[in-house]
Amino acid sequence: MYKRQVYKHLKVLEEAGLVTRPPGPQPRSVRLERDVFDEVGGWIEQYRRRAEARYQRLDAVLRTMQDEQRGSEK
Amino acid sequence: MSEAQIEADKNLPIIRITREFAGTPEQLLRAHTDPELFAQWCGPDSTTVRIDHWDAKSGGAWRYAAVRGDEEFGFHGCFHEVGPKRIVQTFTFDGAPDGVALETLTFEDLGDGRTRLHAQSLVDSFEGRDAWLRSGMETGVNEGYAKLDTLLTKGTV
Repeated sequence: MYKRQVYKHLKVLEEAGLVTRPPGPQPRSVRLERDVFDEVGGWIEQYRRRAEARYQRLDAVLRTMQDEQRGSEK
Repeated sequence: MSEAQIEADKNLPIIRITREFAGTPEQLLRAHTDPELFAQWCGPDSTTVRIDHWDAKSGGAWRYAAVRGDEEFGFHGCFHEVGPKRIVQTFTFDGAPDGVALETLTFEDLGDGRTRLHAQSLVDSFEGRDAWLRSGMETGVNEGYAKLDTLLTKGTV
């Protein structure tokens, strides 16, 4: 298996909130998020992380919108 | 910037999420109502969002699918109210067509181009809410295990 595919799988685990990786260049250490497996707290925390991931994508969309707005004002 | 806060109400089957954004309420509203912008952020990175129907006005409706390879997850609902300060809409996952959540999104103007988003989801029972919270968990875990299985089978781990 290619490294690229392994990173792709790690990304899915990361999106599911099961592992975390510090930012920076590859290779990065991978940490298993044990709290997520704690039954009740885990559902909520995992749900929160998915919401946070979604809102980080929204942050990026807002930045693009602001760049476009500034561009059109020039 | 602080991360999203979540609260599961003890007395009502409600989930509340709050999050601050570097954008005006007007920009937040656009990011939620313009289908092209919405599709860019609403699904997980591993999926593509296909908008099938979109009429973002009071009394309108919406339908989209999150597509990942051969898998497709459909969602639909109605826009009950679309206003400058808030959006009220229903939300149903096609996989559980009897379930419906009432979502209220409020844009709180913090000034200085910042907005706090309050997203509240009310479902019809505690069982429904807990199943909702669990569903993503199971998807995530099962997906994780499936990927891990693949890695193990291929002998790469």
